[in-house]
Amino acid sequence: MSDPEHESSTPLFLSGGRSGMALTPEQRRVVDALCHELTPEQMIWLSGYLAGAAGWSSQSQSPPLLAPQGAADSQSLPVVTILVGSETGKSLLVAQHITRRLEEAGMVAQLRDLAEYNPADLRKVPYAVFCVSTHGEGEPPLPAAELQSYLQASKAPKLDRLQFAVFGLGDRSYPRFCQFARDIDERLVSLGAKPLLQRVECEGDHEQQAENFAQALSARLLAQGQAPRLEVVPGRGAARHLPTAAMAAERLLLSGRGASKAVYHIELQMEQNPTYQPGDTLHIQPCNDPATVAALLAAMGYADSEQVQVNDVTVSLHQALLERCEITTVSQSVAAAYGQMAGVNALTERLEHETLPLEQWDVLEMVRLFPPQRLTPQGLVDLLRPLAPRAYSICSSPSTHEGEVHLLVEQVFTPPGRVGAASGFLATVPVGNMLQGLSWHENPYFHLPQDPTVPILMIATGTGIAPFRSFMAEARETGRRGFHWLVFGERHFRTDFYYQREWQRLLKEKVLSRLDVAFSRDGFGRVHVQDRLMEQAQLVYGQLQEGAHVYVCGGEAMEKEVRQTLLGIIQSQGSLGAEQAQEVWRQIEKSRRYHRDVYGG
Amino acid sequence: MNTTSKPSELEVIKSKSRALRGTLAESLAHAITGAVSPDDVQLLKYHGIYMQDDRDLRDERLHQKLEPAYSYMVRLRLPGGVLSSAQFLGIAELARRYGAGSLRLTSRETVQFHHVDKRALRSLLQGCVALGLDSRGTCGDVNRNVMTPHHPFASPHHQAMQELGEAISRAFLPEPSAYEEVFLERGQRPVTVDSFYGPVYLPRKFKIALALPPNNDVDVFAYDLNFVGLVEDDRLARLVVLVGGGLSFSHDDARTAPYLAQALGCCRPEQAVAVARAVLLWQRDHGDRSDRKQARLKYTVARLGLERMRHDVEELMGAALEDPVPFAFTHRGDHLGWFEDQGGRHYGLFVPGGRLEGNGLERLCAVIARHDEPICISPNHNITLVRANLDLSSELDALWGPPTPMAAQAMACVSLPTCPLAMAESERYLPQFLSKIASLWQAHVVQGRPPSVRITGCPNGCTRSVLGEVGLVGKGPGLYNLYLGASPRGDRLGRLVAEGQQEEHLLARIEEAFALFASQRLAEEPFGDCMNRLLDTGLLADRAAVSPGGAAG
Ligand SMILES: Cc1cc2nc3c(=O)[nH]c(=O)nc-3n(C[C@H](O)[C@H](O)[C@H](O)COP(=O)(O)OP(=O)(O)OC[C@H]3O[C@@H](n4cnc5c(N)ncnc54)[C@H](O)[C@@H]3O)c2cc1C
Ligand SMILES: NC(=O)c1ccc[n+]([C@@H]2O[C@H](COP(=O)([O-])OP(=O)(O)OC[C@H]3O[C@@H](n4cnc5c(N)ncnc54)[C@H](OP(=O)(O)O)[C@@H]3O)[C@@H](O)[C@H]2O)c1
Ligand code: HEM
Ligand SMILES: Cc1cc2nc3c(=O)[nH]c(=O)nc-3n(C[C@H](O)[C@H](O)[C@H](O)COP(=O)(O)O)c2cc1C
Ligand code: SF4
Repeated sequence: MSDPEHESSTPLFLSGGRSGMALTPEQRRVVDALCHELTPEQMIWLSGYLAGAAGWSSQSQSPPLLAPQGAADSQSLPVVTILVGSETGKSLLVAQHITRRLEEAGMVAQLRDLAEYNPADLRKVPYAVFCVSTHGEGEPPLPAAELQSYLQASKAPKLDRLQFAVFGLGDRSYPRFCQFARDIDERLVSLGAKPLLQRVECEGDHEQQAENFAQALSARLLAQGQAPRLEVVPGRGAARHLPTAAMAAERLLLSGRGASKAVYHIELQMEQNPTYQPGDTLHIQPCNDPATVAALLAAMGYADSEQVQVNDVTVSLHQALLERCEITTVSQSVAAAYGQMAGVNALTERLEHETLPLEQWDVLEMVRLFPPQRLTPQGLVDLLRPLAPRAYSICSSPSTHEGEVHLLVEQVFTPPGRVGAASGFLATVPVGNMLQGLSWHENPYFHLPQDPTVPILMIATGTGIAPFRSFMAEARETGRRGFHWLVFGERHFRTDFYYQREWQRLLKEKVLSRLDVAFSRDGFGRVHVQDRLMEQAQLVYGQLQEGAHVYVCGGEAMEKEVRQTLLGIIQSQGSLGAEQAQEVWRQIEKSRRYHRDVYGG
Repeated sequence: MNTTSKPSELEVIKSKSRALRGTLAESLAHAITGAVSPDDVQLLKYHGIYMQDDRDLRDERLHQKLEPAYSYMVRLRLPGGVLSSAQFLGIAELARRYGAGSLRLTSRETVQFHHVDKRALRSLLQGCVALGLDSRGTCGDVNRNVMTPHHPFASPHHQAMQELGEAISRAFLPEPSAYEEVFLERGQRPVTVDSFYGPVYLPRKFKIALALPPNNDVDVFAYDLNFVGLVEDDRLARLVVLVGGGLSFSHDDARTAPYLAQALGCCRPEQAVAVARAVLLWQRDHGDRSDRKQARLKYTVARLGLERMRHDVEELMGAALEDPVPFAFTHRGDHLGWFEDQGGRHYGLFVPGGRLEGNGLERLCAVIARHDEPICISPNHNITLVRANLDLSSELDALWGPPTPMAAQAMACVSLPTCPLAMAESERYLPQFLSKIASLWQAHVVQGRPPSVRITGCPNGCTRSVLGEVGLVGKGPGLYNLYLGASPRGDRLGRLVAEGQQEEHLLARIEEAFALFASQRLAEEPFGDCMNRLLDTGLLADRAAVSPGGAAG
């Protein structure tokens, strides 16, 4: 380092080079001083040491040399507990983001999954941040069930030493938007806890809102005197999120002749090699049907060329309706906003007094039934919800179907004559076409158990069978040897037994250990998956006792009944009281052995 | 018998079957497939059930990652095709519930359900039992449904023949324990070896028919064992015993051929069951069990000779047969519309293709609901409403209307899409084929009775096509063998005049035949007889002369 050329100037790598990782002037002084003292060998050694140290810190272990000192300090610091209640992993992403930001600001943040968290600890911690979604009909996500009953109990303790913040995730198309976040917020206040921030209710655009929330939160905490401190708390790997493109390589109608639905197997050739795990989902940003958009423009009396602002960008109204606004579904809040902004009093009144069949409407239908008195193009675009991506369970496995992602998509035709934005598009996209705006999403709570010998019970109706095709393809490839039991329900044996030949082969190969089917509309009794579980109650119970993980995918109502059935089986087979059975069930949920991925009816 | 050869695969399946149970119970319970195990497919037949799949959909479903659309055909045991009207209505209801609303009357006087789901088999068979019907032994290597002269109520002699038919049918039923255990769910039955058939049943299917001259409606030369009733002094005096008929053959296997039955001797009517027993036992013990293509009685007779057979049969009976006496048939076919005989006034209902479904079935049921007398299925898959009420006249006439003279005698087997053996279309092809040759007939002949036209989708010959005056036997998609010269009395086989040809060529040959018929016909000479004569004289060329090197194989 005594090279005259570098004598007067700072070496490039120390200034942070082109990557902009500049050292503070103070740090640079220390390094410069050191450089003058050290032998070249020492410097080389130090560079290695520093690189090693960087690795340690990212693996959350203190460098051995500094450990004793650091450990003593962190004990005495107030910790911010980030509590996650998530089903499909979105709240977890938000929580990870917030954790990272707090850490970057030098705080001690600890990310905990509510499934494993003892709510009684809330009495001891100073700061808690809740990242929670809402599921069912305004119900808590599964992992938060225990928190819910703890907080709602009449003997819930005072929590007056707790300061908290709530970040809620939800979907405005459900009547009880972010209900669980609201419940927590209100209940904590009534138990004496003090809010740090106003509750956030987030639908879509989680990243931006999480960022805003994290900044506000760290500012608030720092103002409270939370000392900066470098410590990183383990979190789970981040979900993959990058938009990508794919070519539609194959599209097969799986529904046999005479079927009452149209379900397609779609194979996508991904532009980037996909890095998903079985259980993950692919999100698709749909485009609306151009004919419907044209009809809507005509019904509103707007010209295509009108310009509107969407997220601070100016686009044509036509483009906004095509690509940016949700027009295939109408939620209560959209209908209400339309009633107000378009001055349609009849609609506003009826919304107040009766339940309108909103699930039967699209925006065009609403406009036709209730023509606007006044509404600017900008007003329309503002009141509509942003066109959200649709999730599809991936039914391929990365180890078997290299470079591909397979989906099982039911073309939604509700009400008759209309098609769903995304499923309609997927069902008709010509093979060979490119699809844009895809992203795969990790579904961390719907992955196979780490231990390849743990039995799994997979329960599905309809397209809910998709992730299990992925599971079993993976099991076949990796030689997973647990007991693999699939219970599948659909309408008709002849037409709706998706991947029937594959299941038969997997059974023969003993990858799949058992398959029970419940076809409900063949005229042999209206049997459902839960009936099959009841018939095999003893086996179900035995598997649960062996530590089986249960996965449920498909209709929401089905999942509820399956859960009740499993609880009933635990009670009857274990000769337990209702309370005890509940407790066993809580343990199963707590140890994350019950996984669900549900959608729609 | 060829005792040194290895028994065929099916012989092994039979012998391991635990008296026809196999793993049927497990196969029926196996919910992830509509099929049963390959061995059970064979055993189902003994219970009157064929596994089939919709061959139109095979490829499509393969791409859809679905197994073939399996379904089952169930054939009833109905000696002489006699049903009460309540039974008919009951069957129709079962078809609505379990058989896609479709019934097929067959050329052997019985009824088939099609498109039955595996899960419905038990309910269907139990429903049949509740009507006093069953499907036992209507397929498989046993005695099948027994045919009697149509219709059994025509005279006391017909009635007597019907009674013989029923007695034979009863006498040679396979042991019922598996049927009762597996399908009727009457609890576990002891597994016992069949007391008549033994552990491996017959070497091959076995068909029996009875006929009463002068009408050979059952095609009495076409089956393994046949009885021709001879009336003397207005009394059913004796039976001529015919053996070794059978129309089935295999394309490209010269060792196989259609055979007409030959007279073995004569017996008294009361000996019919004893004769049948002896013939069945003889075939059981002497038939070829190593090669199913050589296993039918006709080959056993050819191998061992008629003399030897008569000797053995007499020994088995413990009684001598009389020598055969001559007899003659003048025609075959059904009376259609109103007709009268000693039994009363009846209505012969033409059923297109023997197929009853949809609106046609519903309207027929409405008529039959008002008909209290028996209903008989004819050997041409038509129906006779015995002693029908004249009030039903207009409704009956309106059902399918009177057929054209050519359609009235035409028959086609089920074939595609459900028959697993089918090589070419048959039931679905018949209407268009008929209309094409009917216009050729119009153009060239006009007068005279048109020929009987019969099509089968393969050489199994379910509708006895080589006995049709114009006979088509499927050989490949859109390809048929054409046979001309068969006797209209069912006592002479047709001769091959075109082999494996497309419609265009077949029609050309038929047109040529019709033109010759118009110019060469002797007075009142039926088409089949005329063709036979012309073939003999060389005026009509057989296939070798017509298309040298043109036909395959
Ligand atoms: C985690 C997750 C995984 C999913 N996995 C799959 C999958 O593997 N395969 C699959 O096909 N779908 C799956 N879905 C559902 C999918 O994301 C879409 O909701 C569905 O395809 C409808 O979207 P669309 O844009 O076509 O219809 P939209 O344009 O959103 O809706 C059009 C109309 O259809 C109605 N509708 C919406 N969904 C349904 C439905 N399921 N049944 C009947 N009517 C409906 C709406 O109310 C509206 O009236 C999954 C959903 C989630 C949340
Ligand atoms: N508008 C909506 O949001 C919405 C939501 C869901 C479904 N749907 C309708 O259903 C279709 C798709 O939904 P789907 O894939 O769930 O198909 P589905 O055909 O409704 O259901 C598939 C199978 O699940 C069974 N099932 C229904 N409810 C159940 C329950 N509570 N517990 C257990 N099993 C149950 C069904 O039995 P049964 O035959 O007894 O129904 C059927 O066998 C669409 O075509 C649409 O018409 C609409
Ligand atoms: C830029 C160059 C280098 C990098 C990035 C680097 C990185 C690392 C890392 C990450 C470790 C820790 C491994 C562990 O956790 O077990 C390590 C350990 C080690 N490195 Fe390097 N190294 C570099 C250069 C060197 C050089 C030049 C030497 C020796 C001349 C060296 C000697 C060692 C030794 C001896 C250890 C073991 C230390 C121990 O056991 O505690 N390294 N190095
Ligand atoms: C079956 C189901 C039911 C839902 N019910 C509601 C609801 O009642 N209210 C709401 O605001 N959001 C509801 N949502 C939307 C979720 O809260 C939203 O998708 C959220 O982003 C999921 O976050 P998570 O992945 O962390 O669970 C529901 C979602 C699903 C799949
Ligand atoms: S003749 Fe052949 S194709 Fe026709 S039904 Fe009989 S077996 Fe099937």
